[in-house]
Amino acid sequence: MRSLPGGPEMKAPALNAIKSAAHPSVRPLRFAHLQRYGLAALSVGSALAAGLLLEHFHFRVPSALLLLFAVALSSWYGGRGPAVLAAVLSIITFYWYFVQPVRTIYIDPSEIPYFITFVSFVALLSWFGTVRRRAEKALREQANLLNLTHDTVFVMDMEGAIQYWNRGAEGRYGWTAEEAVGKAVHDLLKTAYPVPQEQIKAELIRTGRWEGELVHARRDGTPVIVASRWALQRDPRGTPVAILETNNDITERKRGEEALRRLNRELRAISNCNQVLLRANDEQSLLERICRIVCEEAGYSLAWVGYAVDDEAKSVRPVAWTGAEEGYLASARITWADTDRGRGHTGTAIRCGESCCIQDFAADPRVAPWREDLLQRSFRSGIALPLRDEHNDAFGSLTIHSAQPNAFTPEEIRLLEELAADLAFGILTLRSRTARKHAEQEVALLSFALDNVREAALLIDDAARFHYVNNEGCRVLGYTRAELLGMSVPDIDPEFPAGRWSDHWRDLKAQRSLNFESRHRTGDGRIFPVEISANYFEYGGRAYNLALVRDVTQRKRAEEALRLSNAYNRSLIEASLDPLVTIGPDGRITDINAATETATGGSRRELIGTDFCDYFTEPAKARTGYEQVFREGTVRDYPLELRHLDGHVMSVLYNASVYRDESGQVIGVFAAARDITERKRAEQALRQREAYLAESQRLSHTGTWVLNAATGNYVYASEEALRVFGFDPQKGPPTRDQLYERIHPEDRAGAKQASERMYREKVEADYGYRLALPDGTIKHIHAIGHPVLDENGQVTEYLGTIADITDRKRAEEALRLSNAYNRSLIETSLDPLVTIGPDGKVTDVNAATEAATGRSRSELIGTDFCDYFTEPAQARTGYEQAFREGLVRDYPLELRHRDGRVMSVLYNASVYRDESDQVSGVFAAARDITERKRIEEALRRTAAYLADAQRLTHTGAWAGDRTTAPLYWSEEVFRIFGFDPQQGLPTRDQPLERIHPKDLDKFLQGFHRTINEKVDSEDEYRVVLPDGTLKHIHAVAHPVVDPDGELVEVVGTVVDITERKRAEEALRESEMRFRTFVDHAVEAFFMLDFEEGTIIDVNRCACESLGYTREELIGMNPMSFDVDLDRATVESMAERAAAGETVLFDRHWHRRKDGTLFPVEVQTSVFWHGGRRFLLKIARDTSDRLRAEQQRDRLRQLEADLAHTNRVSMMGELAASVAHEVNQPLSGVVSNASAGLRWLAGDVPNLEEAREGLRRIVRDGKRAGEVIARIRALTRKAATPKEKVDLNETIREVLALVGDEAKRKSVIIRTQFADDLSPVAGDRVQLQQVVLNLVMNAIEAMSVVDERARALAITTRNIDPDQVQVTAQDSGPGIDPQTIDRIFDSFYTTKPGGMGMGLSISRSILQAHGGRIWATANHGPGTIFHFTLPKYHLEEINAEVASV
Amino acid sequence: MLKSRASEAVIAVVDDDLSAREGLSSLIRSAGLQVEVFASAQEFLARPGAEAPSCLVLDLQLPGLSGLDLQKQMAGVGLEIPIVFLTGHGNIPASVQAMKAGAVEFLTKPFDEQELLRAIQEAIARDQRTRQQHAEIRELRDRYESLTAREQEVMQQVISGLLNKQIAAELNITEFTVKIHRGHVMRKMRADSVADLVRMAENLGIRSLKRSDQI
Repeated sequence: MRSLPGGPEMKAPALNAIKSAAHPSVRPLRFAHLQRYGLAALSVGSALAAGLLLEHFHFRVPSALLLLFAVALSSWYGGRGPAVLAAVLSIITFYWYFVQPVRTIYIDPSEIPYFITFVSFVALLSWFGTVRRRAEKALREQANLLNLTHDTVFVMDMEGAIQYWNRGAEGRYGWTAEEAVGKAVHDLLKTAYPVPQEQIKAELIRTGRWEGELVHARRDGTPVIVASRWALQRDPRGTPVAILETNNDITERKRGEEALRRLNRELRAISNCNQVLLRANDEQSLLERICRIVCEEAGYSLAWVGYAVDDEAKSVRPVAWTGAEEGYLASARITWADTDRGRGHTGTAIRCGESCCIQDFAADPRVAPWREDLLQRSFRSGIALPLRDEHNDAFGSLTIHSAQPNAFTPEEIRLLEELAADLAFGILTLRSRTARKHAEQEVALLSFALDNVREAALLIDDAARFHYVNNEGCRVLGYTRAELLGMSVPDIDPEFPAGRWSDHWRDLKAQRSLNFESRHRTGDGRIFPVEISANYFEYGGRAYNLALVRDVTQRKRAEEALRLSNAYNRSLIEASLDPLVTIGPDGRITDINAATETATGGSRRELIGTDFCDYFTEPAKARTGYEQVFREGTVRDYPLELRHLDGHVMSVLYNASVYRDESGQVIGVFAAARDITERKRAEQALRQREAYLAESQRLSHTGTWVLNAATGNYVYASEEALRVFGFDPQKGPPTRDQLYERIHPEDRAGAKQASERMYREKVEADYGYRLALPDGTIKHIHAIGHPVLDENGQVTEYLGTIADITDRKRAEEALRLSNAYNRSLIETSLDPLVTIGPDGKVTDVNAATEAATGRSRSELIGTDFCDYFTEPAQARTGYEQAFREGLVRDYPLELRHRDGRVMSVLYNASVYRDESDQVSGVFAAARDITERKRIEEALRRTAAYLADAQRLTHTGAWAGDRTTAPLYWSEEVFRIFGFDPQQGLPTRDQPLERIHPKDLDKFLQGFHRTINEKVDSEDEYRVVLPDGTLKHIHAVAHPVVDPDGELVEVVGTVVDITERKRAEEALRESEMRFRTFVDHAVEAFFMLDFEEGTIIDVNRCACESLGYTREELIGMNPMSFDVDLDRATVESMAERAAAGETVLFDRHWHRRKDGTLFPVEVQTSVFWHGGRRFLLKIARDTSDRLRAEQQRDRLRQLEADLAHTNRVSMMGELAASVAHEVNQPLSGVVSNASAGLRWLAGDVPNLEEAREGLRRIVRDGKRAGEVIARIRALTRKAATPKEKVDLNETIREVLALVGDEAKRKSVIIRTQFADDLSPVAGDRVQLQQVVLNLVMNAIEAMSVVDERARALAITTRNIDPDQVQVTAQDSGPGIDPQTIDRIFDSFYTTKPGGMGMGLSISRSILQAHGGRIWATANHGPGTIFHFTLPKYHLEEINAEVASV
Repeated sequence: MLKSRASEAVIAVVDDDLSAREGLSSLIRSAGLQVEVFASAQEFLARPGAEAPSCLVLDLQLPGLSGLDLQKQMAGVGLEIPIVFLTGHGNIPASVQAMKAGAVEFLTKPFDEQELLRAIQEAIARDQRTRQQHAEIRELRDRYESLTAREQEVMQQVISGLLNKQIAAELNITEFTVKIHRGHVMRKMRADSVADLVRMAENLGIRSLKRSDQI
């Protein structure tokens, strides 16, 4: 037992509070007996002592009062026992006190009232004590109960200080009673009130009670939700003194409720999400809507989806979010790498692929990098859910944050994971849908692109097989695509025998791409050269080669043409008027042209093989020149004299260059001579005249001197000459040495050399030097010396002039400097520039000109510029034009290089003028257009070849606009339409007028089709030329469209096929005449070879009736169209016919080519002709006769048909009726349920209406059930009676039923029955229905087949000891393997009007019989149906019957 | 606004199947509309009451007179009730025929509740429009009949676009008299302008004088 804590002064109010508590359960109090009784004795003793003490100090207090006090005290604290003890002791003391010194019990009568009063007081006190003890005991028991309860009970005073604290409170809040008492409740529990505290107090004081829910904090801070009841304690005066608070912990309940609410919310969210997923068609909006639902419906504060990015940082890219994001995602920099920023929940979820939940952001170390951000946005917990792809790898995460810590219970996590899985599935579905769409588009685009390229594209695998061929490929190779796909490279490329492919593949794989030339063979065996670009790539784990093939026939042809053009050059050489010769390395002539023959007088035959030097006047010089050519590669203008056989000499300038073989080896010299005999003669005359002229000029202007050739002394010097040299004219001419002294020391040696050369070689000297006169002046001198010859050619004296040119030199120097700048500009030009003087001589050139002509500047200057062109005359004309007009632009010329190379140039030339504005020359700049020329030439040649090709094939090419007006016609088109190419293109209507009027519409239709539908059109039509010539034209038109699909123009070809037409026409006519005769018979004639049995000839009627052409029929055996003929019949017929009988079959069936049958009467007889036996068959169509017969049969058959139709249509009616019957109540159910929902959804739910609706739903539901039950009952009624059934017989019965139908549909039914077929157990009628169903299906399926026989084969056999199998094999179109498993499902049908019940019912029947049915694809066309049935066993049936 | 009018609207349901009838009735009532049910077309035609229902929810397959027959018959007597057709198993020709004849909607059982209610609302709206138009025409006719014969004559001329002068000549009266008649016409017809008057005349089916008459 424990006492109440705290001192006795606190007990009273506490106990009082307990007493008024609703659940008083305060623990009882305890007092040791010894202590209690001791207290009684002590208090009495103390009272006595006190009395004596007071008396001793003369302070007399009635002792009885003190004793009474002692008794009261004992009674109060000790209880009844101590009270009695105290009373007895008091009485004894009293006695002693009052009765002293009397020793006996005697009471003075005067004392009696006093005594009585005392005793009654004592008794009263004792009674009080007893009552109180009893109350205390009750209280103790109650206090015990209070401590036993788990409820929290505590008492506080009006100021909130705790006064009592039970054990429940200790346990709940973690504070012991000792710690709690005396403290303020508010400090201790941090109570959160739902309403203001004042309001609670007010209510408490008004009513004395208050109840409500509070949130308290435990000692460790965790919150506790309690249902709190307060009771007010008043003291007897009614003043409130204390509050008793009793609390029940409802935290768990609250939490449970909260969790439930949240779960509900989440379930709702998931359901909404799933609806979003179903409808989503765009990933971003899906993610955003899911996030929004998670936030808004499930009540989370943030939901976001991040995708794992496969970059270096492994970052997580937020793609969608909703909620209090506030820039958190942008700054979070979350990754899924195993780093600090990757160990958060999102990172972990993506990395591990498991959901990761963090229950408290404030405490969890994993969110350290973001803690501040998270808490700032009131996120307290979060979960990341991985979004996993089909390989179960996480590609992103759905992260959800909650404002509550510990917000995610396992149940919620499970739901959220489900949501995330659904979301991931949704995303992947969307992506795969998008990807598939993309892929489809790409494939379509690719194959479209490949099909439209003008190169053949072949996709080849490593085994050289073709996997894809584009349209161009098919066209070029002349195969259909299907054919090519079954072929491999060796089939089309003779260069690639099977063995070479693997080497080629290895090379290709190593180099990835190869370009090479090869040859391809087309379907019709033509081989053409191709250029192939093979490209290796791998796709889907397999290697492929995409080969682009270009037909290079045209290029090859061009190369061929080039070769031809060499021959052309040869003829040019021959035509040259200059003697041309080729010389071998040994110096012997290898070839010459006609001009050489003329020049030498020898024939070609004579000249070839001889030494070329023999034909020159100076053989040695000729040889030197020849050797120079060999050494330097070329020689230009080498002067030689050619001697003619008749002795006359021709001066020539030889240009020679070596020519080389392909390997660059010199194999000879090509030399061209130019006859310069005349030129030489003219030059000679000119030189003489010039000499005289120059001489007199010089003599008249400058100082003159004469030197005696014999003495070497000056015999004469003019005054002017002496004056120039600074000599005194009076002293006469100086000596040569004196003269030399006056020459500038630097120039002295040069001057001496020049003059000595003049003396020695007797040539004119022209030189300049400077004079350094004694007075220091420097003079520039121009000196000319000239030997004077006598009649014998001997030099007698030298005559010369000197001119002082100092002033001129100075001016020249200045000019030279100013020119240097222009010069450098000109030099840097890449175009050949040249200046030409008025006399046509080159005055200057730049470096580019040197390069173009192969001559140095010094060589060029002063020569006639015309010489450097292939056509000097034209050059001169141009030059003159420039002179005349001042300017020439783009003047075409050909510049000849020293080595013979010709450069086509365009010249721009303009005159330049001197100061006096006199034209002083022409400045010409050339532009190299060799390349351009070459291209133009090539173009021209190509056009020429095309024209040739067209002319040869009678093919013309044309282009026209959309009005048919011609834009371009090749020459051949002109020819075909009879127009003159010189007149230019005809107008739109001119060619149309030449089209045969009857064909004009056809032509225009085709053309308009090409324009409007943008497709190729191909037509044949006739053209009538003005002279009446009729031509047959085959025309092809092809639309040219721009990338926007707009028609640009129409191009096409026309081919003159008149010859071909004419040949065909002739053939047809003869054929017609030949056949007219026989073909007028109305019966079909067949002439057969007796031995072979094959057809030799037929007439028109035979062809028409059977639908075959004559060609097809010849060689046929009648058995192939006469369905009733078999070998045995044919043999017996032949036998009878051979015996002279005319065999008649009055009811045979012939099958037309289209598969339809018709009845015929056939007469067969033998006749002899030319020693051979023939069979003549005459067949007469008896369809009409038969039709009448059939009409009668039809009536008979009608009954059977009706039964059949009934059976077929019954099912349809049944199904429709079932649908209707069930649909009505179903519709009622839906209406009522919808209405019910609406009644309940109103502001005031209308329960009565809703209830009524539910009742009706129940009724309608039952009604629907009854309908179904009725149907079931209907089918159950037909429980299968088992009897012994012979399947062969059953099938025969069915075939008898459908025989006519089969014949009508031209279906041949063959049966192959096992003779020993075991009987089966079952219902004959039902099994008949199964067979009927299969047969009818087959007949119907084959009704679309025209190109082959319609055959149905039914086979029966025993397959194992217990099973019998029936197969029905048709030749119909077959069943798609994709759906072959579904055909037995109810309501599955491929027939337009079918119910889809036949096979389903068949299967039910067979299953009821213990058998099964299935279908397989036929090896050829068609389908095979199989069904099995167990064999008939008497015992089993009996057993079954017995068990039933 | 539509809602308040709609709540006064009466919807007639004709369906031979009890379940369907009750379900439809409950459903329509739950949407706050008044409903009357009939088991056959004949029953519906024998319906007492002057005010026609605003919408007819009609089953296609009815015993006796079929839904389409009823539609045809109603059209024959000028009864313009918008019809929502229901059918157990719809066939295209029937739905085409129904829609061509002006049905609001053609629903296949079991139908979507929303779809039906939407169709009914549309029918009611259509009915409101029709009724309003009829009321307007009636009002116009009353006004027109309040005109005297002369005024009607003048009105005929005015809407044909004739000037007062021309009308005067045509009717052989003074221009001043024409003006007075014209003022009466405008006032009685409550027309704001001649254009207004022409529109009214059109609604009343009064033809302007043929051009050929004028020439």
